[in-house]
Amino acid sequence: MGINLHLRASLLGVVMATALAGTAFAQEPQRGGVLTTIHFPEPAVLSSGVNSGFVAAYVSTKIYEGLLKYDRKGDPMPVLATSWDVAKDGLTITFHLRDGVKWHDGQDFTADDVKFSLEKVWKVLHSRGRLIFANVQQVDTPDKLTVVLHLSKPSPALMYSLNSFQAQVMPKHIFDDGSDIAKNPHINAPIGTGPWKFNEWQRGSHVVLDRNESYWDTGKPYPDRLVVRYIPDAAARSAALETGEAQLGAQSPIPLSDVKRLASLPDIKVTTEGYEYFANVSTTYFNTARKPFSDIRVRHAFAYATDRQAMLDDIWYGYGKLATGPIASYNTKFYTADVPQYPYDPEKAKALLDEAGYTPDKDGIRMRLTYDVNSPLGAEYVRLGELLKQQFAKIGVELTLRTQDLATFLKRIYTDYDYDFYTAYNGIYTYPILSQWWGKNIQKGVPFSNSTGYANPRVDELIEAAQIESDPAKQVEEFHEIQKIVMEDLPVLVNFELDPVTIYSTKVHDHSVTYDGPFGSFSDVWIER
Amino acid sequence: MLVVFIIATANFALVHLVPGDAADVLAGESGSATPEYMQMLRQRFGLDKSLPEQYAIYIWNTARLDLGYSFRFSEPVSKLILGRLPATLILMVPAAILSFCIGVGMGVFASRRVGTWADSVVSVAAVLVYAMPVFWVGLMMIVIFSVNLRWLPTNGMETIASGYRGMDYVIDVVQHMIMPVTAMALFYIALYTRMMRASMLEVSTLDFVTTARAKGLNDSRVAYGHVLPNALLPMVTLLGLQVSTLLGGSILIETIFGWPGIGRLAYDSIAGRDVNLLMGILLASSVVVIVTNMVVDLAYGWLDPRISKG
Repeated sequence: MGINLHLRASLLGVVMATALAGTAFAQEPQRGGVLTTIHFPEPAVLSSGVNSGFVAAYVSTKIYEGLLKYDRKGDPMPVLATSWDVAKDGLTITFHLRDGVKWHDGQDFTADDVKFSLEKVWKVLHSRGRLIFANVQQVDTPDKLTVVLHLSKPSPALMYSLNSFQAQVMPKHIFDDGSDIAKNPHINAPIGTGPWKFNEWQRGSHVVLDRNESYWDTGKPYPDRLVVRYIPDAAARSAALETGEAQLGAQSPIPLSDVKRLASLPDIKVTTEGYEYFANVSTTYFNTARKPFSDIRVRHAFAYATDRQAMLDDIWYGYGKLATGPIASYNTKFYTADVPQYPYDPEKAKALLDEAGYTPDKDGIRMRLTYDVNSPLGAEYVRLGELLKQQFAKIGVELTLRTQDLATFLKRIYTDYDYDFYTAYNGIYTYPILSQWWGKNIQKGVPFSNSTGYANPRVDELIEAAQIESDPAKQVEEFHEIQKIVMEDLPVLVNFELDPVTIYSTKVHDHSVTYDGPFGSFSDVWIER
Repeated sequence: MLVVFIIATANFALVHLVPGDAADVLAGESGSATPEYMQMLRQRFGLDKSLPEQYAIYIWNTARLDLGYSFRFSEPVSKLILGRLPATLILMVPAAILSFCIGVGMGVFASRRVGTWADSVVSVAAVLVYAMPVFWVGLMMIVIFSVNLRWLPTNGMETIASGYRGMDYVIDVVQHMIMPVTAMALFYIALYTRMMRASMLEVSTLDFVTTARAKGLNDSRVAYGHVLPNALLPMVTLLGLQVSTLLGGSILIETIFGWPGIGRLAYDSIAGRDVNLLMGILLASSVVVIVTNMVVDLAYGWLDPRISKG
């Protein structure tokens, strides 16, 4: 009886919660207000076309639009393109564009703008776009509202890369004057088609965007203004959210140690939704080109010696979940859990090191290594280094931690290859390119190329096949096989899937409605008054 | 002129000793890159030229007072620096004036009551403030006055997009200024107080003060008419040092209070390996140092005629 009562009580709770959620959902969006958000660090420029990092994207995705956007499941939805058609062989893609769309300066948006953006910006100036659009040979514009892409090989990644985070449509009439696009003053005062119009950027302080009165999606956006503030100090960012001076902060804007405290405040909410598109996996990279990590037994030993649960709980405060392979489980299309696993087992690690000939010396130390702390990514990575030092000490490995700034770090890892191992996170996006495991992508001096020195002919073959595979079933097979081999060879350790947080006021609604969440256009966001 | 040239050369050498370049950083922030992309970036930034070539271009531009173009920010360096100048000045100038006046006042106050409890209070307070890290003071002020009391805004220089005009705008900016200026001034107040007190005490042991007393002048006349002007000399040196750092701003204060000053611009330019911008800021700062030194030298002569005659 007691159990029954308890059950009924909790059932009632569920029913009431659902009802409450239902009413909250049914609320009509309200017009007006100023939405002040924080993001960090401040971008160098305001166009993703010439700087494809997150910070430039956060602002520019509100001003510029892509041809498509992706819903919470990753399926394409119309934005500047209202319909599209991919030919059976994958070599011709036709887009029909939205009629009546105007640039913020009043000019008409046409197919020429798309052609210009693809040929002059995405394919040339955009770091990922250069790969994604590489097979586009010709762009035809049979009429003002039709764009036809002709490809030399099928490019399945292309249709997953047309949101404004990856490929922003830029106005031809502003940028195509023959001079350097990156030097055009409108790079920092963008003119787009999006729901928000650029008003001002005071460097070191803030960006102000105004509501686009003549946005094609009539009635949107709802607030009058969108402000992005740049507050360099983490504690001051917490204070701004706490006092309500800022109502939303995306991409873990404050130290995770402070998130629980803010989440407990009555007028603040925390969510990890809206980062599925990026599907980041915390990954430890080994330098397999030199000792000791050239020996696969040593890599396996380090996998068994890493207590990933402790890493996730103690440093990332549980914001994430343990990863099984290089493709995050958010990527439901290509993810597989059917890969070799390495549960925490220090004894097994020691046995493997013995087998590889790394026996303890008189001080009990098997090897001395240097771990490069990826401090530019945040304070968590410094603590991670300290944790790993302790964990690996248990199997007789003595770590020296080395800290450096971003430029020095990149040069060490990608140009000099002068490192033992380091940890970073790896964004997979919707259609994995996996170029970090591609043997032909060992390219000196190129950041985020294959730095581990790992090259497996079978993996190379599969990666190359997947990039031009038009049959969805075969794509899945190829990606599954890659994951299995990589998890056996272990050029990297996959630690856990990161869950960045968005912290927002309970008055702010509908901010993360697409696959790319806060990196969407904020056309649906509204403030309760 | 020669000094400026030497500084420019030293700046160039220093900046190029640091590993990594702007293309690395840009690609690093982008999260992916290809060799062609890296080459395109280096070409655009002028990093594909040899070092002597880059040096020659830099010196030639500097000679023409052209600070160059920041490829990272897609804007001319002079525009970036001038854009940050007003914010820097309204933070640093009030802080300098405030700390000089209060510091000198407190120093005189304490020195005239040497050994009393009032002197002890001032001296201990000065040591305490001097020892407190600036960032800690700043954060504590935010916690107390913004988060708990909600009297003052946590950071920034103005209420963004408020549409304030005239007096309302001034009041708004002053509200935002209170905490950063105070945090900035506190450290210097402590410094001036300690220095002024010591300087007053030192001067009051000199022969001419004894003479003044022997003439029968009262204590106040001696202190304000004879001791104070002479005790001010080291203060001017200190003020000169403080003014020299004006243009550099204060990275700590600017960071904590989200103040859009030059200090952070300099920091960002180092982190981003934005060579042109960094050299521009360094050069502008060194010119301010040179000018300030000249002004301080002239002020010495005015305060103490013996110096200019010597």
